[in-house]
Amino acid sequence: MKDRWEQEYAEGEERRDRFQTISFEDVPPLGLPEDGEPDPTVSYPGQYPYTRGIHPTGYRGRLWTTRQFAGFAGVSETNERFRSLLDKGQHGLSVAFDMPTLMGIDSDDARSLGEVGKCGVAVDTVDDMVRLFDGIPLGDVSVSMTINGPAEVIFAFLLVAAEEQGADWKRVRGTLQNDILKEYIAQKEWIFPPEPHMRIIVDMIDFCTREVPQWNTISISGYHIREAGATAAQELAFTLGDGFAYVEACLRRGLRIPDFAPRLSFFFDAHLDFFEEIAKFRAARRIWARWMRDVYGTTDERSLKLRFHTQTAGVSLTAQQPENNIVRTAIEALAAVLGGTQSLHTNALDEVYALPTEKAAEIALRTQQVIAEETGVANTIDPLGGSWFVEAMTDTVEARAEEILEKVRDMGRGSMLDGTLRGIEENYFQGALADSAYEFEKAVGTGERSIVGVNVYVDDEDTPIETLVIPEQVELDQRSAIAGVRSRRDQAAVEAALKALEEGAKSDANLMALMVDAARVRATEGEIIETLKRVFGTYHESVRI
Amino acid sequence: MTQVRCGRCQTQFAVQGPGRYPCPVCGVVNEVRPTVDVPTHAAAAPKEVSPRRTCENCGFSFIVGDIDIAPCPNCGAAVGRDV
Repeated sequence: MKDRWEQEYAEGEERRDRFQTISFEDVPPLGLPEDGEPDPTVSYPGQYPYTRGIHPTGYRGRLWTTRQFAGFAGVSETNERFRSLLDKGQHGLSVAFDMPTLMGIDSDDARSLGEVGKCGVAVDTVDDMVRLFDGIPLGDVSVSMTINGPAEVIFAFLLVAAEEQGADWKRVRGTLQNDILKEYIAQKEWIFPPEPHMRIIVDMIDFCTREVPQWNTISISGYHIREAGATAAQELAFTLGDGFAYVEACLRRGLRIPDFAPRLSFFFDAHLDFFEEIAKFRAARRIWARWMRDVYGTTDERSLKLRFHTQTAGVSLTAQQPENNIVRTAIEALAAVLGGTQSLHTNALDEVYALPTEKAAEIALRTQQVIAEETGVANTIDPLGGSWFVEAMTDTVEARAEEILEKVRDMGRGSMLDGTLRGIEENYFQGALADSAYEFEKAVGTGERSIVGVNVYVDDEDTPIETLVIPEQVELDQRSAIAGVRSRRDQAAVEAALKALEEGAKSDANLMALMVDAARVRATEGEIIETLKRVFGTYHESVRI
Repeated sequence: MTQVRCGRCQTQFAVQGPGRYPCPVCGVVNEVRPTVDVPTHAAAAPKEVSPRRTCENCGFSFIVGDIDIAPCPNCGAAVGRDV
């Protein structure tokens, strides 16, 4: 095992000629026990079960991707923010959409009034996507898009925008969140019932294996589950459980694991309990690898490796003494890095009030650049590996998560897909989150848990900070833009494409391809979603009393 | 009176209700927030819950949205919302 790691490390590239401390001492690539091999559950970087990371070179080879989530107001303003972030050294783009877009509703719909451009950017048609990425080559820059209910529609818009830039889909890289299971569990931005939506997702995965092979099809998300109140173990178990459910859905369709599993990625929260979070990330890799090998029977190494994005915990930010949020975010980001994240978003200090100002967004970006360039934590691989405390904590979080996974599998009589769908239907997940959130809030209320500036070390007066305000003109401009598209397009072609989509939804046709066809002729997001609603209906969840 | 703990030294002391109180031992100012009631979802419960139905053609079971007839996600056969 050691020989193999040494060989793989030697074959890899280092991002620097030498790695030294601030006092000019050489830093070794990896800490190891003085005698013998490490425990097999810990192993080596790049080796099963990947506790110490999925790459043999860790961050010595390549740093994590700084990927700040951005999107606000109109497409022009967001395009400017994207260019600014790329100029400041950010590696990839991450699009935040406004609430109407997230719910599949057009900007000129009465239900969108007052919400257009408020919590992200409004995208109604391909034309908006074209302007959003004006001057940004979609064949070169990786793009992450955080959207779920209408995810495939927005993905279709992106593919058509790339096509119109002349980019080959085979080169288009990025990630679509596209995780509907956690919507039913935590975030609540669903449209269709679970089973029809799972069909849409598998259609998209099937499509991407052939047409867009570098695209990460689902970002299986624990972030929203944690933010809704989960413990670390619940975040881990519910998220990995969702991942196994997607794997089973693809297997039932007849897809092969090596064709789709390497393009599943994960998204976790970095909360404030520093060591528990590091342990959570390490345990996540271990559980995924073991289940994929032992339960689903794959030996494909790329399918065993859990890759994940991390965002610092929005729920840990406080409105009181908001400057303290810079410190919280820095500590959470450090935990993500020490846990081996592949990419990272650091929250801005003012996000508890509104979308960040440019200044606040820049401080957030600089926070991870300080960690990367100044602290030295990226100069040795998995620096906490082998710590008795961290390894024991990793074991504990893993065991707690496995207990929960077992319960979900029992609910599905051996199937994680059936167990997850049953858990959603019977409110198992939602109830568990509510209980955990309530326990935490009670502890804050009684002083058992301290939050600086909120229930301890409080100031007499809170100092207001400058926040971003989205002007009303954004909504008026977006309504004009969609009206312009409706007047210019070939209406007969739109109606034909939507009719084909409706007929496809009633059969077993691949809906992803049909959505791309509708996008090309400038059908709006709302029109495509309403077409599918006519076939699948909308979902109303049951509630545990 | 409600028993709370100081966020810095964890000393337990009694307060009359929500508000800001200095710890009687270390003096740090603590804010006591209103008590949270046990959550109840009854008021928010939707009047209509999407029903689970089984496809007569293939036996696949799935939740049907607010639509009279839905295609079975497994075989495409039409399945009625109302049995």
